Amino acid sequence: MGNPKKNSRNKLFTKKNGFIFAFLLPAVLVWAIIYAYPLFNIFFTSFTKWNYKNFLNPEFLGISNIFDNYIKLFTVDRNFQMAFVNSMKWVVLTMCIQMPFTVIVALVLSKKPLGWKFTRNVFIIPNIISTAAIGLIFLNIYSPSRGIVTEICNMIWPGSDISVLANPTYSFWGVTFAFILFGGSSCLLLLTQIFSIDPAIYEAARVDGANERQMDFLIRLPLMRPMIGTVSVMAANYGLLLYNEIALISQGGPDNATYSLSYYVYKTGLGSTKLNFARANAAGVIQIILGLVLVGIINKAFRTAEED
Amino acid sequence: MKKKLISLFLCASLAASMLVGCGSTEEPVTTEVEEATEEVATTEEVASELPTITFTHGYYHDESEWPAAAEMRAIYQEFADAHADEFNFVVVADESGAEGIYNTALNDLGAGSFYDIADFGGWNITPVAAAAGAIVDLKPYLDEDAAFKAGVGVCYDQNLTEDGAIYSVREQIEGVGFWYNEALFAQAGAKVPSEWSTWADFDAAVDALVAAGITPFGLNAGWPTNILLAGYSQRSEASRAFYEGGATVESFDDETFKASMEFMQKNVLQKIDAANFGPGGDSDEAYRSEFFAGNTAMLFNGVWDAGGSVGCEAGAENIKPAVFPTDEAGKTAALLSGGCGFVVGSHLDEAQTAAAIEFIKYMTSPEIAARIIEKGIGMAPSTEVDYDALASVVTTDDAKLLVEACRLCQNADYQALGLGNTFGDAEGEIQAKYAGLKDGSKTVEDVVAELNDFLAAAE
Repeated sequence: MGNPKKNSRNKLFTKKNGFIFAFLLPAVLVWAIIYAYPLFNIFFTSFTKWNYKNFLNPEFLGISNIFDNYIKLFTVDRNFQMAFVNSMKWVVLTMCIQMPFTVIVALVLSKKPLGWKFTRNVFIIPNIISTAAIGLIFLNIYSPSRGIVTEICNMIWPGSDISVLANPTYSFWGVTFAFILFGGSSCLLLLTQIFSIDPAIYEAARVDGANERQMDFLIRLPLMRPMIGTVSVMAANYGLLLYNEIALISQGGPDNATYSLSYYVYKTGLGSTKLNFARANAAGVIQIILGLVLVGIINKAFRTAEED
Repeated sequence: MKKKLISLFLCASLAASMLVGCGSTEEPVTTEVEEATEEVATTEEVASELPTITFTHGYYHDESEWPAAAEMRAIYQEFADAHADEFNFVVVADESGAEGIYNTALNDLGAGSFYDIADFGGWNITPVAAAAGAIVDLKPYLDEDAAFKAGVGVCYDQNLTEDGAIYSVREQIEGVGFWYNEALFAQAGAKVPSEWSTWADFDAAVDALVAAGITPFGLNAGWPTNILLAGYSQRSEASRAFYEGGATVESFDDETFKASMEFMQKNVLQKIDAANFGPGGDSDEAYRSEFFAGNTAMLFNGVWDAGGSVGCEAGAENIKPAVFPTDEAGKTAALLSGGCGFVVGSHLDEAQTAAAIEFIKYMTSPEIAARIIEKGIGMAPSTEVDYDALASVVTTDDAKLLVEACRLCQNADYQALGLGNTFGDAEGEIQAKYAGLKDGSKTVEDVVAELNDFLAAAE
């Protein structure tokens, strides 16, 4: 009988493992330098005082005040609180509006009705043009002097003269509709998943007398579950990380009603004369944690990792 | 064996790629500034013996796009040429504009460097750069030269920091009053701004315009509304005192500020319909286009908008400049904001610093000030400018309007900084409240409470 410790060490240093480490090393190094280091930097500097006054030398807040930046975010910083609530709303809205809408479109297109290819291509267009262009398009749509929304509102409700982006309630929905229905990329992935289902399963279902609705609910949707989970993670993260649309359409206003966490991070860190990097990084850490929690919840809900 | 060889080859390739990626290149990375510097050094033999100083500015625009940019570049180059035998003055246009110069400076500061001299326009780099010890205090140079001090005009006081230093001055200032359409005032039978005595006349004129079915002004939750708020804040000694202390304000719970916000709500924002209240910030310029189209009677914008009158539908002959009234009968107020402007790096040696100072003196001289106004570029801070003389020199209609607007601002009884220069980040918070004040979802008390929360959060 050999020494078990020595045996396991020998196993670890096999030639095969050596190759695996060698292949992984460059990727790990690159990840560590361009991703892990800034991540740790953000995390540690969120416990410091770091603004224009000590731009080059962040000062640790001290053990007794270590969570000062985080406490201020949740107690006195209305803009952060607004950004936090809005980002959560956008996550929920993407899950409740964008995902069901995209799944329905994918299910309809998968039956290849007349003009399905054209519809699919049209549906993907907003996802292949830049969010900057989308922002400008919606800025014009909502403009009280040039836009169509004010005109339509005036036709329905004469004299209303609604200025979408000048009203805190309307502007939230104005920004929301600038991205919420654009699930083209997700739709393509879902379609691919549907088309990869073995036709024999449909044949068997038809032999058993299943109709199209039953095949949707009992075959397609259950088999799409892992992909729905994946695209849900992507969509929810888009909602959580929303920035471009806000920067271009509403600039967080009016009355900061359309602040998102990403926009708050920018405004606090670089968009302010105070250059409050520490507070921005604290918000960034919260955003990262929220992202991880979201991925965990969605994966759990859709059991994405499980194999059928 | 074959598989092992392939694996070995792939490993070696990956390692080699990584080393190549991480290693430094043979050729040093050159920036636009360095390239320009090199060009000068190779084309002029004498250059290597002279001190070199690089000036970076944001006037990169083509003449067809913005003639003022070409004129500014010409002004810079004339200085460089005039001093070619004393120092190499390299002029570099940064195509990212003043904002890009500001962002580059922030990055450079992080790496411990700074521009030789740069024009930051309205982007104030001085708090962070001064805290990092990266820039020169210009005050000693201003104090020893009366002409230089006169040339920077209001910038001397406006840019004087709490520690008694002046880190930046500018050759142009934002002179702001407002513009009005004389024909629309006549149509409404309203007293024109040049006849106003106090703000009560403003209210009466607005009511007359509204009664005649004329939209008094277009606004948004940003710039034009901020101008009006800043103008109204100059109405009395008490309101001016609160406004002046904006940078260090500890609470917005001040009677004069509350009265200003109430005026904005009742006498301004609620006097126009929603279609004339666009999105905030710089995202909607309908307030300008509507004025020059002849659809609104007043435009709250700076003297530079004299250019907007050229060929406008409202009729250039109807466009007139004005400054704000006060509650002291017959006295007027204007906004004059220098902003940041020229900042000199402290890493320069004595000769280079002297060259940089010489350049700023040149830029703030009465000759350049007159040229800036004559060419319709903007308003100069110099107290030496003779606007009456300039009025007889300029020939085009828009230049005449600009001179008249500058004259009114310069001669106003009270001159104050703009809202942003006064309140800093709080400007954004103040303007965020306009929408709520307009639709009545917020009271002035709500606004004050929210602004105080902002101050507490920003502490």
